[in-house]
Amino acid sequence: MNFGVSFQSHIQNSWKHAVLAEQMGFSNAWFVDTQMLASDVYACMTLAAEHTSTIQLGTAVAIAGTRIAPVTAHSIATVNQLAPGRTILGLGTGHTAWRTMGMPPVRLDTFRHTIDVCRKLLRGEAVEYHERGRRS
Amino acid sequence: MAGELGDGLITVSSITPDALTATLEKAAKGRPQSSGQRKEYPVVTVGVACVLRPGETLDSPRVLTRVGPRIAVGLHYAYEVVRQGKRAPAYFEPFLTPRYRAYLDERWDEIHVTHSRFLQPGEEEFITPEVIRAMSMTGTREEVITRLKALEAAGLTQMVISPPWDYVKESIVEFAREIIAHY
Repeated sequence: MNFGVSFQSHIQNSWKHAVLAEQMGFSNAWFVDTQMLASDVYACMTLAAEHTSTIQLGTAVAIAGTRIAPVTAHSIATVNQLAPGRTILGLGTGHTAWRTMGMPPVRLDTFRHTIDVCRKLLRGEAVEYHERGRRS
Repeated sequence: MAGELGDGLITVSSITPDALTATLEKAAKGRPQSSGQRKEYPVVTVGVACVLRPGETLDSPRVLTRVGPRIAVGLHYAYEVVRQGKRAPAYFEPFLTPRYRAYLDERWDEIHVTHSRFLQPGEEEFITPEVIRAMSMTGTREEVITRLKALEAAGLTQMVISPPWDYVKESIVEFAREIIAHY
């Protein structure tokens, strides 16, 4: 069994939490993505990537729709440049991130498209993208 | 969808073997039949844990502070499902009492802003020891480890603790010393 810890993405604190978790034997540090209550998740993961060496760093979870999928893919790929092979993109439809804006989570068709776009771009594959009623 | 498209599964609140098994069965339905048995498919659950100190009980203020805010996130999720006219997930249903729903109705536009930080004023009344027992990994060291072993046997590969944001440091140290070191 592996053990992880999930916490607020806080630009001044969360990298320190990741360092502590690594020192204390946790295998994973998971960063919350919730734009109305926390710092930017990828900025926080970038700092953690710079200050840790073994712990896996993931989003728990990145919220579909609050960023377009190609931006999500490029953000996690950027962090992975600093922590190659120990970066995880967890994706979800959202609860707190959308509810704090008075909105429901994204629909499953949007979520499916987000996963598809992220997976293919992160593999270096071409992907058919649609946004605002248009297709690429 | 996680079974069909994911390289693994992240779930919340699947902290009993039955709940985890039900989640895994759903994920398995999405798996393409041609894919066969996956070599590696991480199964991660995000929950909250608190190791009781000697003499401490589930109704201790410290326990409520440590696990209450995260439990509320799940209950608020179930409440929103009900507001949409759907049935709450079975796991949450017993605890989403009519009185608690009425309480949430009065403040539905602000309940989510305290997620993972603290409870709404008066909400502690609804986070009873029964709720804490069912919806968190709270107990003595031995009890928590026993529950984790049962989850591992049911297919869990990673337990993620999600402490309140003001208690992350203390929770990391406590869980590492009390659970990881003895697992």
